[in-house]
Amino acid sequence: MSLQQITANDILNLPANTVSNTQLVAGSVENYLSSQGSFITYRNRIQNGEMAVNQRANSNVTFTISGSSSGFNSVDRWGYYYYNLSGNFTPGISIKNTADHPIKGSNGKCLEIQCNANASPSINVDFFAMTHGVESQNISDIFSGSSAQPMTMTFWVKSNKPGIYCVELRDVQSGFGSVYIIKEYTIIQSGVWEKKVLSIPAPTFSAMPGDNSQGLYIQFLYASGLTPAYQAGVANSINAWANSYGTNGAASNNQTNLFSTAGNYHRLTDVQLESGSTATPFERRPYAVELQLCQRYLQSFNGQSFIGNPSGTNGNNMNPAWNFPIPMRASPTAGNVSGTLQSYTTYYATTSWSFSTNANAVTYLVTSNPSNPGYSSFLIAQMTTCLLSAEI
Amino acid sequence: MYKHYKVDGQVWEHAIQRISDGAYIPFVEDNYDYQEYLKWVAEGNTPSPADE
Repeated sequence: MSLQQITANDILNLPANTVSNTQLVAGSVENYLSSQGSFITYRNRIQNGEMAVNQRANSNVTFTISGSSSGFNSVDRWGYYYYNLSGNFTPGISIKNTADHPIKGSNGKCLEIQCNANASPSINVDFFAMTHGVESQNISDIFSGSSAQPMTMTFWVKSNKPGIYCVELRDVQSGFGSVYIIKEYTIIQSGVWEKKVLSIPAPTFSAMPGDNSQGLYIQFLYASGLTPAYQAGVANSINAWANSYGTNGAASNNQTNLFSTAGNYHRLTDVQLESGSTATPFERRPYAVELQLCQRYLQSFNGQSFIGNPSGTNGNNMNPAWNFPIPMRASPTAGNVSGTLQSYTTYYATTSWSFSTNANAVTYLVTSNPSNPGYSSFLIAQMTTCLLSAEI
Repeated sequence: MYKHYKVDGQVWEHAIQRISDGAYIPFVEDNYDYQEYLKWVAEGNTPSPADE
């Protein structure tokens, strides 16, 4: 009996344990549920694939490539990585969080890379990529050694520079160093949203740990040079996992240079990576859920205040602790810190503050000098901004 | 690239400050920024002393 032939009565009369995986076409249940407006959740191993969460509130970051750098400066969970080893690859770039999305009614946006000043990569260590790290324990069921599963990656792209682009997946936890696979996709038309589906073979070489380390590192390439600067004569592995880089770094020899002309753009959204060889509809999680998933890696605080009596080890300091609403992946880096210290009375002259962090809280040390010990007094510490990052 | 900083008058031994953005990086193994700092040190670099 095919799925289309099943009636409501059939389902009501099904004896227990009579439907097995071998009787269902892969993706049939997911696609049926999607057509009815509901989903099997947590299929997507990518966080903020819809590009809707932007705690940094940076909607347009502009810079010029110089040297090499990697980090995070735009939408949550998406980083940048570039290298200019030749010294000639110096394009002007904007990373934008643009309100353009292929699905009407979606809250999603897109991650846009725009060329402001053109340049061409020359050697294979000239490249620009946007990156996404997947925590090991969120993907260890797929990277499970001999029982590893194939994966399917889907996403939407739109660009005024059609051509072949590359995505690289790198297993950074394998026992062989970095094991990677390069997949190509083609943008056919200029200025039109296109959905791409990539099939990833099972990574049977790897048994990923079930911990909080970086497990899978994904790179979307926007430019990469051709002339080998290392690994000369070694062909890049396309569509298969390999454990050494070829002549073109993280991309194939077909990689398009988005930065050939100022004004070129590339938009990306609804990125999904799931177990199995069938693409299912994008898992559109509620914004509040997606935000909480992202807060494991980044938390932005504004306007936090502490009031307390100086005490602590020397009787002059206070140590207010600030517990995170979501425990973070690791003890975070604290950046973008600004604030003021005030003494409510003149009996304490505040001098400095600093802090230590763990995955659950940040603890401040506010240092003061008693100008008139013995009088009742208290301090006010006002944190204007603080950005806590445990990204991978 | 990096420099020490002081807490309560003493050089803080449990973190380092990144000069480019002023971020405070804790010395914990699973912090991505700390791993980047370790690579930088392994290349023969040394952080600047704390401000007086």
